[in-house]
Amino acid sequence: MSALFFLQQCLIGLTNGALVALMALGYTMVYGIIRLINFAHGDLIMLGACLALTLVGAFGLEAAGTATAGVATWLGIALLVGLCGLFCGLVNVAVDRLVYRPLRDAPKLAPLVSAIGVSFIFMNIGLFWLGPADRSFPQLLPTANLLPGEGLQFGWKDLLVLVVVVPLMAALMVLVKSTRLGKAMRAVSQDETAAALVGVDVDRVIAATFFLGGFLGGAASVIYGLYINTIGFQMGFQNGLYAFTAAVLGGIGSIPGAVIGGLVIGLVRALSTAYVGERWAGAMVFAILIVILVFRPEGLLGRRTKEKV
Amino acid sequence: MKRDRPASATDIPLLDIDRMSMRFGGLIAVSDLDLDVPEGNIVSLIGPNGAGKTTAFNCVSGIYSPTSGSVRFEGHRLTQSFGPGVFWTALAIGLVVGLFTAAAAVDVDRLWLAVVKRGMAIDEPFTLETVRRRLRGYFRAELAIDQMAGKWRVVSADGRDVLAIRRDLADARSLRNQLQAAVTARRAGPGTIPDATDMAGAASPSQPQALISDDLLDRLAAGKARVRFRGWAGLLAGGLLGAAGTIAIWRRGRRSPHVVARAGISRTFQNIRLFSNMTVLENVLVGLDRAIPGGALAMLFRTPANRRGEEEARARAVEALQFVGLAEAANRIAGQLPYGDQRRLEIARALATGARLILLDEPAAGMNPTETTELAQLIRSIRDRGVTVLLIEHHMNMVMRISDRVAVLDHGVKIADGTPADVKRNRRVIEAYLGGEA
Repeated sequence: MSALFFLQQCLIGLTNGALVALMALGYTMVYGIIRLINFAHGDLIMLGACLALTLVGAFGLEAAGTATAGVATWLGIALLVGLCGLFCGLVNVAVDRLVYRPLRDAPKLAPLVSAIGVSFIFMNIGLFWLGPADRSFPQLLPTANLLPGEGLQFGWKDLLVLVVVVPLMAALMVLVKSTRLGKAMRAVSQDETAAALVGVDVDRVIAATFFLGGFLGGAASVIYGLYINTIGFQMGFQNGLYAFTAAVLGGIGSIPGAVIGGLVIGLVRALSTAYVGERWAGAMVFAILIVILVFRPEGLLGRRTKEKV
Repeated sequence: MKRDRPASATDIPLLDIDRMSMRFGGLIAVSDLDLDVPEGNIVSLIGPNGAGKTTAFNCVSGIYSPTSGSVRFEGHRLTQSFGPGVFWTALAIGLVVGLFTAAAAVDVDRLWLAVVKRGMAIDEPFTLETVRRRLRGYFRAELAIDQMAGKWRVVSADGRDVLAIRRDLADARSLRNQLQAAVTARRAGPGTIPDATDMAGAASPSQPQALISDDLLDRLAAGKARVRFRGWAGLLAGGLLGAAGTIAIWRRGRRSPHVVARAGISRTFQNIRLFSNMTVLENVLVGLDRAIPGGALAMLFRTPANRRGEEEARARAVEALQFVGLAEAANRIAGQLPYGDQRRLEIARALATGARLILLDEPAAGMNPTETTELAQLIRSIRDRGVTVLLIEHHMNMVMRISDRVAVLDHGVKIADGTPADVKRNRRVIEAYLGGEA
């Protein structure tokens, strides 16, 4: 168990964690704005993966055998990310419009239970789409190591995760921090009524939030397919669970919190897989979640929520 | 009933509340309130605690929908109009709900059996094409082939009715084709027996009819019509309900606060409601949102038009802050300001939206006499900017000094309305405040 081995596990953990973080953003953004835990988000990502698989077939993207990926492959992946993002964003907006918006003034439990229902509907659509068995997602990128030497492995796939995830997160931060949509989102999240009374169209801002969360989920689904290479109609549940845990760990409602939570979960999972055993990885993640929540119930970066009047 | 209006009043009052009532269950919070607010005036709404003043404000600003009566601003009811957006949304939602209802009506369970479950039995690649073919088969109530325990079965589309079992797949296929021909013939008309030439390649032409009873043949033949009818009926019923429900929900929320705010009514709250984690400047900027052109992409890439809009909004926000005397605090976090400053920030935020009527809910609450005097000055200068003010206040000195008109509410009913001097002398007002039958 050398230092190199440890470093390698950290690298795997960070890459995995970036993927979890991208999924966690969808939970945290929606929670931040309407205090709803959108249980359907994991299954939305599954639907995105279904579309990605169908599109890979439709575009005729081939598994790469060479040491470097061609321009066509990269363009194809960019197109996949864009289309799946758009698809998931629009589906998320449609679900908000159809299911959550009519329940906006209902007690908080009603939209929560509806979200679970939506998750089942998505899962069944996925069952129709993918069929009952797990499907393998084509390996589009070469497996060559990008780092010199024999020690550390860092392939094209790992690079892809970072190349997609980091710019998306940066764009999101800029959007929320300094644009008028971001200001409106923060205003709605703090006081919906007051925001409406200064002329903010609350429903539109919420729809925009659902779109952004869905878009990131769609992007995550493509990356997931290319990175993990197996998708199935039940993948939404487990991934959703980890992503939701990441959001809670980081402080649900906080965007940097979701990113940090995702990275922490990725690291814990990779390290416990390497040093404790794979079957304990899940238990370790949730044990750490419990320990952190005992000392910081609001999560790593969350604010203590004041009871809303 | 003739009301005495100040000389500046125009023909149409800026705000016209007409017989407005608000009930919560059995409780009548506001009852048949009539109130005109002429442009360019300061009108105060006073009354003992629980008289329904804040409820009236909530009705005007769109937080509540009044149970009855109307609120007009410049002669218009402030409601969203039924535009193409609402129409298309209702249509789209109707379609989605309709599709789900149709799926339920044709029996989700059978649909699942027909489309997915059989895929598990037969080792056939599961593609969109497979799904399309099986869905079509289900809606045409065609016969299908299924595998169980190593044997091939000829089944109805949903796999519920087993017609025959064969060891060999090719055998089962040809039998399926014969039976299908028989069912199709029965569908075309009772008594029609399929021509022998239709059964080319059949193992034994006379066998199919013997395999299935007349009853089952009838049922299979009728299946297509039944499934189709259920599908269409479900689509229609679900579609209509979905669209109607969408419009009903839209009607309920059509007088929403942001519509009222955009029309030019803004307000402050009794318990301050700032965005306390945002800076002072950002608080004001939220109200200037719609002054900035450009969609999400323009925002992200900061197009010139978008940037110019942001700068203009910023200038207007700074102007509003200067007006209330908070320009120096622009970059502080709103929640950390002293109480009096938070109140003034709330006023600045309301003004910056470009409102022509501003509703102030107890702005002097918790202020000391000096601050109250400053506030009175501020309210006067708001009016001098051409913004009409409707005020709820308990500081009688201030109300009587600055108001052009005063209306008095008690237990949800307006008991007096007139100049400050009139109201001060009104016996019912004195009773309401002091109690007893003076």
